[in-house]
Amino acid sequence: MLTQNFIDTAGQPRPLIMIDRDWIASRREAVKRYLWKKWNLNGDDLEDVLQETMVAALQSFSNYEGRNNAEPGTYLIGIAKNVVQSYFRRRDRHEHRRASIDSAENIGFFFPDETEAEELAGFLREKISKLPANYVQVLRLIYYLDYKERDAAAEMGIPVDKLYSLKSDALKRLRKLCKDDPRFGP
Amino acid sequence: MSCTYQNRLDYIADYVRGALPENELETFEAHYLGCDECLANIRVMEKTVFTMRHYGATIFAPPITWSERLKIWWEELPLSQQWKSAMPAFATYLVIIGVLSTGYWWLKSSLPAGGFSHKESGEIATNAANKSLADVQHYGWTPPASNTTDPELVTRLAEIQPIYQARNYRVAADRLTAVVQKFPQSIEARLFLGISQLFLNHHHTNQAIQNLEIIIQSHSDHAAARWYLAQGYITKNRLDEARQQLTALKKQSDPSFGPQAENLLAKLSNFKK
Repeated sequence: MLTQNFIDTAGQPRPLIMIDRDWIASRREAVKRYLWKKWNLNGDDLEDVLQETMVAALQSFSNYEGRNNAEPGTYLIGIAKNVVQSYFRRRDRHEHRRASIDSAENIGFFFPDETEAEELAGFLREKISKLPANYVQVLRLIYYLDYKERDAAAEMGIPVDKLYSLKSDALKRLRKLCKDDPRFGP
Repeated sequence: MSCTYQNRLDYIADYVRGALPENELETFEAHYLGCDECLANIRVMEKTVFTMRHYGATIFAPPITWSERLKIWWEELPLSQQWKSAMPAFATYLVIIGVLSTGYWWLKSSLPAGGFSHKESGEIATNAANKSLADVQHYGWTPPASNTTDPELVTRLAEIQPIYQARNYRVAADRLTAVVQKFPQSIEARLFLGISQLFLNHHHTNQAIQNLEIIIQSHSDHAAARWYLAQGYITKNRLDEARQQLTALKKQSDPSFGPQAENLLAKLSNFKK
């Protein structure tokens, strides 16, 4: 991806983002995640659509001009949407919903097998036990019991803005405790 | 381009669990499709949130007690049920073996090296018969003699003397052994070492005799050493040697030990040779 300036109609220099083949190829995993998350595609459907999206992106990137600090991801999203809608038409599918992390079937998207997920659960238990009690409670209410922030705040007897701050701090602390584990690496 | 979602783990976690408002979803998706940092954070948050959501019962369970932990450890032990049911009996067996071994080693350490020979066993029986004959009495230890000049020796003897006087012969013997090793010429240390050893078990009597004999070799007029040497011989059923010592003691006409030696000789004359 290259960034250079262009002169707009008012004669002012503005950043111009240009994308290339290497950049597109490097976004494959991100596009795959987007297709899964946004369009709930799995298995062969996912692989097919991903492949079509990447090919289409590589064929037409020279037309892209990322003016006014536009996110280059919008280019990929635009292409992915077209490919998916065309794919759905061919398959006579008209509805879609977002993939949910609540579905245990999605485990294969994050872990090679269930054993690794169980190991990570043990690891997280150990790390979370080192957090202050209010951090543990906020993680439990929001991420395990799926409380809305307002309900979790009421449960804990604290203002909602305080809960948001607690939630943010708890995740940062947890991330810090886990950062040396390869499962949480880059 | 700098990442506008830097350090926004909570925001990313909300995206992962599907809690972002619809109007923010596309903006964030357009961003992370081009941002390595956010993609890495999404990967981590997906694992974390998925695990918390599906394994929360384990992760957020209250801390378990030691007994529960032990039970879990036992259940997770990679042994067949057959082995596990045999384990208590095996543990009991080990405890019994442990107790017996400890008892054996304790007994062995308090017996002479190699145990009792047949001859020594006979001696023990004879010793029992001689118990009334031998008359080992405590010999009072006055403060160290003035002819002892070495200050270290004086200090060490002064420390041991009250221990001996308190009839703590085992401790006294241990300490006097060390003193005798360092000061082999000290008659006083050797005498009280020999006497202390006479009060200990059968095994120490031989050592007592050796120490007292050494004194007599260099100080043939030492009445106390001779008297206790005779006691040692009697204990070990070496009656002829005991008679010799008592006869010599009688000839010394020692006011303290002379009459006692005469009495004991009379008793010994009635005793079979």
